[in-house]
Amino acid sequence: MLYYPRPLSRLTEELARLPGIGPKTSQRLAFHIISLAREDVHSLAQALIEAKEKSFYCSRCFNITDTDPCRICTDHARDRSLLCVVGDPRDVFAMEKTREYRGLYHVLHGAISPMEGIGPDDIKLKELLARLQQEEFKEIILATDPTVEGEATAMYIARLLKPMGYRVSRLASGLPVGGNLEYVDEVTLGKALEGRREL
Amino acid sequence: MACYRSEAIVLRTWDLGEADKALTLYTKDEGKIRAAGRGARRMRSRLLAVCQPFVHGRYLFFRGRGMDSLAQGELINSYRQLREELDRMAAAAYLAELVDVLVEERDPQEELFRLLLDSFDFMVEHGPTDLLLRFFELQLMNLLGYRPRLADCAVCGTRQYVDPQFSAVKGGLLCGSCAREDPAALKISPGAWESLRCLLEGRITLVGRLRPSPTVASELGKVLRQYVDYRLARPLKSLEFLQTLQR
Repeated sequence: MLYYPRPLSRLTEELARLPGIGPKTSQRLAFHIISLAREDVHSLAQALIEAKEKSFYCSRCFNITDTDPCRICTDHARDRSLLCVVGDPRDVFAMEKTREYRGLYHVLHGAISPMEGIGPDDIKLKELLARLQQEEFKEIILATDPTVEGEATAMYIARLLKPMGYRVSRLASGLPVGGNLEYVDEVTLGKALEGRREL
Repeated sequence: MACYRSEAIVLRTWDLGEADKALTLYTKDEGKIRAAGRGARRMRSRLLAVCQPFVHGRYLFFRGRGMDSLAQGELINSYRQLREELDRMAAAAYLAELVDVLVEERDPQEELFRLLLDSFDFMVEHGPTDLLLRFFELQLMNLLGYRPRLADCAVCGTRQYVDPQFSAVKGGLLCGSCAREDPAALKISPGAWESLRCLLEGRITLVGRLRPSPTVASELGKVLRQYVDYRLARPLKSLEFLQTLQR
């Protein structure tokens, strides 16, 4: 970065540390930022600091929030008998976008991975069990990723919760909407066939 | 660009970058290798299904300077039963990690490839029995050149002994008088000794037929744990989870 003035090269370096941003993109972003109006740059910088300083985890569901408990946990219009267990805060936003689900959430912040040595104590599972003592749910929906780790987590939780009398369900696996059957892999198609429903 | 095809079993996968996956595979023709599956975490990737742990498939790789890359893959057996049941998954992860940790890269052994497949097939059919894990541990050590001496004393060679013990350090049985050579040696009952010999000499079908008593099974577990751990550079990550489930 010898050719760039010091502040510009520093900005480029900082941006390049972000995920998915390589040297070229960081350079493009840096040049874009310095071409912006002063107030736009201030607003961006302010947004960065505010997002960091005012975001924390909800003490009930462990989703990212700016109020504790979060807006979902305190929303009385939601179905409080349903709990959806997800691995990551981003999954809450994905579920919310469906507009199909109106229950509450619990974010585990990770998944059990026998291969990586991540066990049940390394995710927010104790917190889930403690929460079940305080709140009354009828159904627990396990919406962890359909990966080995996600499946391991779902199976482990199901094993703990079923004897406690909860209805435990798992998100279905199957065909992507708008896809072609011939391009679907055997495992997914097999699962779709297994989970078929009557019309 | 040089490429090669081989049947392979996926031992382990981990995330690489934004959408890629890195894999350790045990290939039939090249032995253990590491490869990158570009875009293999994207929902629409063609590599998605063949980059799952424990999958047995036919793969096409490009040779790379560091890690090879995975160009194509076709499923032979997805072994999805091993990923859809917790005990099976934990046991399969343990077997895969043993191979990943103990086997050198690019040292193909078809018997080892076969042992993995046979053990996976056994687990799909009969579940992950403790005896299968013991059979795998013993057979793997044997294939890696660490065959324990079970017919005579590993130190003095005598076949006459009372109160034999098993020593991981000395690589087999010790007679009563040589037992002091290894203070960590474990007492071994005639039943456990016989079971070890059967598991070492026998085929996988034996695992379904052998019915050791709980005491013998626990002895086999301890002896082989010590024997395998002696060769490991680091503790196995999957073992703790397996033990959590067994408790």
